[in-house]
This record gives sequence, structure tokens and C-alpha cells, in this order.
Amino acid sequence: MLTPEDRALLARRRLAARRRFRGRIRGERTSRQKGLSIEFADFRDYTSGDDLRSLDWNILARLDRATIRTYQDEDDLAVYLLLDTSASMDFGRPAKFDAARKAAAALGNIALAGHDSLLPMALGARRGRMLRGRACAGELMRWLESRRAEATDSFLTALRQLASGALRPGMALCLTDALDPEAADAFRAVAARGHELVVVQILSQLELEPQIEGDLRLVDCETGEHADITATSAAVRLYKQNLEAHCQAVARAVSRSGGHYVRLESHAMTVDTLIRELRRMGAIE
Amino acid sequence: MISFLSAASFWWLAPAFAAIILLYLMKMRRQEMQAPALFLWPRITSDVRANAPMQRLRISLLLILQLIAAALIVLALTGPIRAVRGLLGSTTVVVLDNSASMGASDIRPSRFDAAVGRIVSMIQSLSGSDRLAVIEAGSATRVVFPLSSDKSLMLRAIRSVTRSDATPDVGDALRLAAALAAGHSRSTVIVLSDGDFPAVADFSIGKAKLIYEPIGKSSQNVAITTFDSALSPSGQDQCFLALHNYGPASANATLSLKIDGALFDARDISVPPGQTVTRSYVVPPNASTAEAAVTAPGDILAADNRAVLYLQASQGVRTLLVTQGDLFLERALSLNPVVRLERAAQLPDVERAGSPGKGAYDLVVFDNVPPVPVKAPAVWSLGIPGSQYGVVDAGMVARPAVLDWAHDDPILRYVDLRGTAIDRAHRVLTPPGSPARVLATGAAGPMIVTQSAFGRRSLYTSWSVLDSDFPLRVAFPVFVANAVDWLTRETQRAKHGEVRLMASPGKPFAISTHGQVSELIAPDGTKSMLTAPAGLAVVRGADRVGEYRVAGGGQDVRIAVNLLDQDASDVHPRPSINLAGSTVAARPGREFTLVELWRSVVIAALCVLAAEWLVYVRRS
Repeated sequence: MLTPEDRALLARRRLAARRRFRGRIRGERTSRQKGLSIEFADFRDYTSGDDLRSLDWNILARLDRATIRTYQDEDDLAVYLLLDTSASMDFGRPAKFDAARKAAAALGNIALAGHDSLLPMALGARRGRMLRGRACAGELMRWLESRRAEATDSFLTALRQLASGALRPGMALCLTDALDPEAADAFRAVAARGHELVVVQILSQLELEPQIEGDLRLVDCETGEHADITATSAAVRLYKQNLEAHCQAVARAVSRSGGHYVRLESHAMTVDTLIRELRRMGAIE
Repeated sequence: MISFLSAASFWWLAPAFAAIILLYLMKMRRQEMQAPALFLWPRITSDVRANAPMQRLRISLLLILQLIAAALIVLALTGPIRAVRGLLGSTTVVVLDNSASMGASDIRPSRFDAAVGRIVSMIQSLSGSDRLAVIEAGSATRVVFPLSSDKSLMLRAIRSVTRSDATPDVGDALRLAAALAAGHSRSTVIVLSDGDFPAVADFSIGKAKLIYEPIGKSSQNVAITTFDSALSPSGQDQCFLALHNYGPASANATLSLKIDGALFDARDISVPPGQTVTRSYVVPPNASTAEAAVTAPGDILAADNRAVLYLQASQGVRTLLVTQGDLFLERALSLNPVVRLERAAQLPDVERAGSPGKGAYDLVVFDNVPPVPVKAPAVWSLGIPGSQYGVVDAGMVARPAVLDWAHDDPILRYVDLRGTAIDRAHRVLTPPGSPARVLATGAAGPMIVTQSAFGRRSLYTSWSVLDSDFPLRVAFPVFVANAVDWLTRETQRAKHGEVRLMASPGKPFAISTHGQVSELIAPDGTKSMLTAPAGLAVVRGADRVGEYRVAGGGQDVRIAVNLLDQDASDVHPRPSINLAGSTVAARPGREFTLVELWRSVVIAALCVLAAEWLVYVRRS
């Protein structure tokens, strides 16, 4: 899934959360909490119970005042890797799911390399366990490889789960085609729970430039609903207008909630392209 | 009214309509396609194809257009045709009889106008591929318009044709019509006439169809068939007149006679059917003009109800041609309307000078006959000379050539004698001191000599007409007219102060004029120019009865044109005409042409199919 060149590109990258999230364990991310770390934060008067090892002996010697050095505490970032495994992701040549999986692998490796807590999530499947550190990269890859784009549920189900509040706020990396009429609302709901969204919308060229004509019965990949249409040039034009409007709505919803939105075509999805776009958006550094 | 060659083909409408509607009843089987985001697709459907049963019939523009196209195609299969009045074929030549009898008013306003109206309706019913030509058989055969399909041109031309009272040569017109129609398929020659013309010989219609459409229905006509005068044995002028009733019933006619414009006699005459009644009148001395008129109830031809007679001029120049036979000279003399020509092999004794009684002739022509003294005041001798006429015979000369002549003499004006080939001529001498005047000389001496003395005039030509090519030259009729005019002009002038002639309608005649341009004034006052480049004006346009005048060139000529034609006055419509021994029966009534309409219907069907295709493409 990832070539050595891809890994080389990913080695120096880190996820750049805009906000500071409260972590559970000591990580490599500075948190608002002051804690035990090597980075000096501030002085305060000694109170009973403070660790004497934090006592600044120089200040005591010179000023005869007991002062404690405080240090920046470093927490881990919760990164939720949401992979859209709905049936619609199996559309296009190459399939959007392959591109999404590759992007998930790239972002997951970045998170693991940054000692962030990575929780891979997919529709319909059991949630994976929280992964941390480069040593879990292989487990992440195995998890990704075992996923299939065949779920009949909408991706919104996974988003609602994230929005339910059961998980601590973190960075939600959504790899999806976002082709649901309620996608924008779902993303807003996720952001409202304190998560920082990074939405990578992957669409196939067939969806962007459909080459169809004549009298057809369109069958929805996920719901199985069908609609009879006559694919005239006017109908295709209208579809494209609707698609663009929908994508713009999703982008606005993500941006206004402080997240990052990137749209990529599945046939042009490379790690390099992904990193470049996310760096441009400021989602990784 | 439209009819159909194959009306049974209408049954095809049912299966055609059923097939089209069945296709629209069938449901379309659509191709299934997976779509990741169904909600983004607009619900636009239009069923333009069907391939599976069944669904509710929906009326659409495409269905209607297809049904219309199918209906038009079936209509074309039925072979619709329409009967159109008018022409029978693609090429039609009409011979229009413009003779005196066509002026009969049994068909209002006249038979001729009815024939013209028939031609106008033919023109108006022409279809795009039809062509029509009209030939007028009038005073001269004339192509009114050649084969054409230009309706406006044809209408203009036919409306310019005027009626005449002439006796036409219908055979000439028919031959021309046959020539025009030859070489064209489906050609027809139509003769519009009352059939009142002589049998036509030497005529072949070829492959064209010949139709005789009779015009006219009545024969009721009382006509003046003869109106002439003569000197009675006692020397008085007498008019005699003949009336003929061509109708089926006895006619009570009123006959009036005017002398010099004043009513001389009027009486009622009953003329039995098919009979002639004659009357004679002793006119007062010195009367110059007699005018006869007849009126009868129901008379349909006016042209023969009036006649004008110039009493003394009616004698014209009574000319006696003494000859053993000379067609050229006889014809040249008769061409002159002034000349009342009679022919004799030898001079009657009563005309010899010294015999008792007055001479009956104004001019005696000795054509290669020994001339003798005559009572006539004018003598013309050709060939054999007579000493009493100013010349003395001195033998014969072979192949004389005219070397010089008096170009300005009235007899030789516009006469070119140069190159005239004369086989032999008499060599003559003019005695010294004689009043003879030499007008033309050759190597052997005088060839044309005139003499005018004591009120008598003579002309001598040293060669016989038949011994030369002179009759074949343009100068010959000019010379003859000049000679007659010079020989008799003083006699005429002494009588009237003007020249008066009698003529028949449509027959051309020549008159001598002093000027090169004269004016011909018709009885209705219309004027036309006459040119006389050689001093001889040929009048061709006197084709209506009445009095004409020729003015100009210092002279005044009055010409009375009378019908006086028994055949022309017999106006009963002939049931058939005889052409080259074949009888062509009359075919009254209108002819119809069947015009096929399937082409128009097919074009309409193609237009509807094109519209249907456009609608389908736009929807697709």
C-alpha cells in the first residue's frame, strides 16, 4: 500500500492540530496542563506537597524564597482515522476505496510516527484498538488491508458515533466520498463535539465527468433505490451542478467548524499529492 | 375534386397506425447502472424507444408526427389524382380561326371573343410543365405566341389579337401548328373555329392529337353577297345587288340604298331560307358612291350587312389583256386594285377604233400581239411594235442589254433595269418629229418608249415579258404599277380628283404613292404608317370591312373593303372539318387533364418525417 518512497515522505511529517486536546497519557504534544517535562514553563511559590526536586535552589539561595519551577506537560493526541467503507466507495476505476485506504495508511503512519494515539474506525466493523507508536504501523496496515467497501450503511453512521461524545475530542481524519445528503450536517455535529476535522473527500472521475447517455435505471450502491432517468446532456449538466454544490456545502461545513477540507480524484491520489494538499491546508507539518 | 387510383390502399392505414401505437404501448427496458449518489441526479425521463410490454399510452408530439407521416405515406399509395380543366397534354398548339364568320354574334359577344376566352382559360389552367402556343389564322398566318409556359406573356399576347373579316388560310395555320407540335411527346393541336373554311389539302398532323372544337350554334344570316355596277346598254350606270338568306327560316329584311350619302331606296324584302334575292337600281348620272345596307331580325353577322360601291371607280381601270398566255403579266396587273382585268386572246372587234359604240376599256395591253388602234385611251404594247404608238419596227436583236434609262420618269421611278437578261427584243426606231419619248435605250436603240398626245397615252416595251427574266425581278411589279398608273392616272383624275379602290378584307394590294411614307386610316379611325420605299405601298392591314383612306405623298386614296363572300357569309357551324381527306368531327365541351398528386403528398410526408427526426434528436 505504501512504497518506500511514500514512507520516506511520511517520515518527517506530523499532524498539526490547531487546538490543544487533553490527552490521557504523556505524549509528545504540549497540553494546557502544566506537568513534568523538560520544558520550563513558569515559577511559583513552594507549597506543601510539591516535589522538592522542582525547587529552584538558586532562587532560594539568593532570595531566600522557596520557589518551584513548573514545566510544560506533554499529552498524546487522539487521532481518529475514519475510513469510509460504504458501498459507494467501491465506485470508479481505480476504486475510490483504494485511494482512501492509501490515504488512511499515510495519515495513520504520520499519526503513529508522532506518537499520537490512533484509533482506526470503519463502518460496520468493530472498532480497532488504540494504536500508538511506529511499532503499531504493521497492525494498522493489516487492519486497513482487511477492510472492504461493502457496507450498506452510510458513512454518517460512523460520524454519528464519533459525534456521540463517547470518545475524547481529538483529530478526526475522515477519508470518504461524502456522497450523502446529510454529510455537511454530520460533519458539523462531529466538530461540535470538539473534534478537529480533516476531511479528505475522494471522488472518481466517473462521478466528476459521467460518460453516460440514453435511458437508464440508476441504482443506488448503498440503499438499492433506483430512479429512471434519461441521460441527456441537460441531465448530466444538472448532475454536475448538484455535485459541485454538494461538495461546496461539505467544504463550507468543515471549514466553518475549524477543520480542513481537501478534495482529491481517486485516479490522481498519491501520497505526495495528499501531503502537499494537507500541508497547504495546514493539517500536517 | 380529388379521386384515387387505388382507394383500397387506404386499408393500410389501420396496420400502420396499429404498429406505431403498439410501439408506444411497449415499455422501455432500461439499462441498469450503479450510481454512488442517486440524490444528485435530476429525474428527467423521456421514453423515445420501447422494447418490452406494456405501459399506458401517452400522447406525445412524436406519436402525433409519426401517425401523420404514416397517413401521408398511405395517402400517396392510394394514387390521388385531380381533374383539371384545360390542356390535354404537355404541349398544345391552338389554331385560332380569325375569319369573317367568327364575328358572328350567336355567341355573345362574338364567336371570336368566345374562342379567345377559351384560350385564356387554357392559359390560366396551365400547370408548371405544360406549354402552349397559339397560331392565328387571319388575314395572314401569324404566331400569336410560340410554345411557352409564361402565363403573363401569353395573356398579354392573346389579348392583343383583334378580330378580322378576312378569309384566312387555315391550312397554312394547321401546317405551322403541326410543325410546332412535332417532336414533342403528348402534343395536341386544337382548332378553335366554326369550321367555315375550305377543305385543307396537303396536311399531316404527325404524332400529335388533333381536336376540332366548334364554336357557334346558329346560321341565321342575311348577307349582301354581290354589289356591283355596270353600264347599261343605254350607257346608264346600274347597281345590282344580291341578298342571300343562310338561315333556316325566311327572313324579313330591310334593304336600303344610299347614293352619295342620300337615301335613294329602302324597302322590305322577304328572303326565303337558302335563297338569293337580287335587286338592281338605275343610279343618277354622275353619282359616285353607292352604299347598300340590310337589316334583318336575328342576323348574327354584321360584316356582310353593308357594302360600299364606287360607281365610276368601280369600273376602276378596266383593262383588257390581249395575250396568248402570260401568267407573270396577268398576275402583276391583277395585283393592282385599280385594275379590273379581263383577258382575251385577241382584241374584240367592238374595241377596235372606228367600230360603233363606246369602248369598254380604259387600257388595252397587247402582250406580244400585233397592236391595232383601239377605242381605249391608253395602250401598252409589249414585244411586237405598232407604228401608231410612236415606234417603227426595225427587226429583232438578240440579247440586248438596257444601257440607260430615265430614272426620274414616273414609269421608271424605283425601277432598276440593270442586269436584266433579255433573250431577244424588237429593234425599233422613233420617227423624227414624233411625240414619242424614249425612256430606256439599249445598244440597238430604244427599248421603252412612251407617247402622250390628244388625250391618249401609249407605252411600248420592246421585249416580251416571257423573253426575259424581268418578271423575276423586284422591279417588274413596280414597273407594271407605274405603267398602269401613268397610262390611266389622268383618266382617273379627270373623273374624281382622287383615287378610289375596291378591295376584299385581308387581301393585300399595292398602290402607287408619290411619297415614301403614307398613312393608312382604318374605318374605326386608327392609323398606321405605310412605307413605300419603291413608290409602291403594299397594304396588308385592311382586314375589316369599311372604308379606308391612304393619305400622304400628295394624294388621297379611298378604299372600300366589302366582304361580298358567299362562303364567308355561310356562318353555320360545321360539325366536322376536312383535313387532307380525313374528317375530324367536332368535340364540343371542355377537356380535362388528370393531375397526379402523389408527389406533393410524398414531399409532405418527408417534411413531417424531418420534423419528427428533429424532435427526437432534441429530446435525445
